[in-house]
Amino acid sequence: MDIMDRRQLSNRFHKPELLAPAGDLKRAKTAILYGADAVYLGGQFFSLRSRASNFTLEDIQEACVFAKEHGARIHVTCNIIPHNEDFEGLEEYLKKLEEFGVTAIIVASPSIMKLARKVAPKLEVHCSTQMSITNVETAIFMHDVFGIDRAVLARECNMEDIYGITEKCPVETEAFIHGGMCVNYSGRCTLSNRMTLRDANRGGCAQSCRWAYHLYDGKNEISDDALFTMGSKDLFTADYMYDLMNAGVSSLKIEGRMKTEYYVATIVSGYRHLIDEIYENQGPLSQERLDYHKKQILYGENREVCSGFYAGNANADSLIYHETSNADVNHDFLGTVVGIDGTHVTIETRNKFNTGETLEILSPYNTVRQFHVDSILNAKNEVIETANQPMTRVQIDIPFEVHEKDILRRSR
Amino acid sequence: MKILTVTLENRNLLKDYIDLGVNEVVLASADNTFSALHEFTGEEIKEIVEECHMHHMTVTVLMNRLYSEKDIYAAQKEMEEILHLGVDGLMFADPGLLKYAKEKHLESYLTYRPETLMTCNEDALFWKEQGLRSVVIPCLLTKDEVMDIAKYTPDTTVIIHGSTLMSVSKRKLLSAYKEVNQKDFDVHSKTLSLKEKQREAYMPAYENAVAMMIYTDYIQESFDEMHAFMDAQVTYFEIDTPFMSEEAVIDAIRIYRMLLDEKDASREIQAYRDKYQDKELSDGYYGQKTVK
Repeated sequence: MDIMDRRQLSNRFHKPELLAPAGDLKRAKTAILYGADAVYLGGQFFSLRSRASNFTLEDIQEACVFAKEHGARIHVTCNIIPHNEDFEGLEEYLKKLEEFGVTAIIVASPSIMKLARKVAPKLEVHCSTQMSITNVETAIFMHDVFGIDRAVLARECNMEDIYGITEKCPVETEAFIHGGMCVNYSGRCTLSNRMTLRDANRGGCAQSCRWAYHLYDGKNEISDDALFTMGSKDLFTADYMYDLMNAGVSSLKIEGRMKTEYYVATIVSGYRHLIDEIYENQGPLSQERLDYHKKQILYGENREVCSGFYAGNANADSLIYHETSNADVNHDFLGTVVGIDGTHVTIETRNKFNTGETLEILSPYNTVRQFHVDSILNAKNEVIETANQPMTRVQIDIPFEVHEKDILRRSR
Repeated sequence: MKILTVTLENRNLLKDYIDLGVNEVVLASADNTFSALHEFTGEEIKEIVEECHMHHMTVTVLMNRLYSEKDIYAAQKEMEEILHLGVDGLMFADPGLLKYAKEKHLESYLTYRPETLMTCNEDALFWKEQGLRSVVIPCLLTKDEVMDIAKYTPDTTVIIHGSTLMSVSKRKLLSAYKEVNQKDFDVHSKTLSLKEKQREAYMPAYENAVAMMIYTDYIQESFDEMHAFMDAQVTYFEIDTPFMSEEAVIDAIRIYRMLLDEKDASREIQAYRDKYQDKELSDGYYGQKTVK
């Protein structure tokens, strides 16, 4: 059966969990406020992404309390591939996570799975993408042997694979929908180990795949006019959202524990509205509506994007062969609402904006709304043409209801 | 039991392997490997098995790739067919193959070879306790870590010599580069290498039908560690031959055979190091631990 045959509404069509990344407590709260059903985060040990800010035990506890208050869940990554010395303190850590009300741990090591089952049985065990689950037979094996509660699918799965896996999988499935992609099979790359001695499977990945390389055939350089690179564009799956939901994927995961609060708010909000509308529609959206959601999501993306393997084999157009950055994205984030007095709104600024511009408010409580900046007052109540000092406070009039922590951004 | 295992890329070398005392050969099965080894068809594997068995040599086949949902079921059947050719072992990376092997009670033929994912005692023992023939200790560990795992887990395999696999991508990265930049070169050539812009090391790069792989810029050697590994009860000592000349393979086999037979090979080792000094011989991670 091909994908088109499967696109009739399946009996597994339901609203999946939207799972968002958080590098610190502030971003965890932002993700939840902007619509994440669950947030995954790393503690200070046992987690990949050692350069993300990462959470203390107190932070994790506070995140659990905040999540519970908002009907959300917390997942904690324990996804290192451990060496013998890495187990110290793990048992106590797992017990603490269970005590705090963490819903699940994301794990790649059989021995950590076994230990978690033994000492913290209330924690769900989600089998990490580091295990490269590319077929349902592997998922069944992991379920039979460890009783895993969820299989995080490898990024190498295409839509046909995902339909096939979800149809027969005895446990929940989780698929990546947005963010950075390892160009190699996750967990099976030691470029970083070799070039920097930083262990990619213990949180030290130096992303050596994104560096530039000369390519030789024997002693002859092939790359004399264009260096070889392996950097992947970021994953962006709005076009595949209906299929992912129709396939019955239980959780849709955004990558990026090292991304900014603005990124988290924008991407989570974008996918939240897209998922909700597809669910309400009980079917694919019109091209016009899909384009609207794609635009909203891409407000937050500062790298080039591709559909990864969902369309088939990720080939040349999924790779970045040139130096690039979409710096505009960083200029779009203009500030945060920090005070409200009727229509007079105080903004803590991040980037420059001018009187006369049309700007937008991104809020967890509303759809994106635009307004015209008629005037700007500085902290001394003086009228200014341009707000150009970052992290200062200015006042503008906004003709609709806003909330503290709403985001002011440039309209594109 | 100490078994000298060597990958085979050229059938014409088999007689040399027999004469030099190789105990087991490893063959790559076509379209089933994350490896730059020459890939053999089922018919060729069958012929090599017959020849090896005549000389009391065993044969292991590599099926060490990951399979998509579409491919796993055919791979499971192919694994069964390969085992029915009379091979003595099969190396796998995808637990989907192990699931099927357990259903068919074939798991005792299997060796788990995930390259990077098994770096502690408990994980290695877990996989071995699935009824496997062996587990391959990754080339990412210090000498002490290798020994710890080998002492803790019976029947382990250590890759003692060769250029070792560093990364595997499902993306055809060489083909993609060739297409985008309109270059003319053979992506399946074993003469390709990558050199990071700031470094001088040349890392072999290779693309087969299922993956693009990058190997270490150095040839791992374990001459000085052999006694320790033997004391730690390692069972399978494997020489991986991709990107090595046939002469270098033969020379290495001769030395490791001597070491396994507990003969003094110090002169031969020095001669080998002198002869192949331009090949970047290295003890890899044995003496340096990666950091987090």
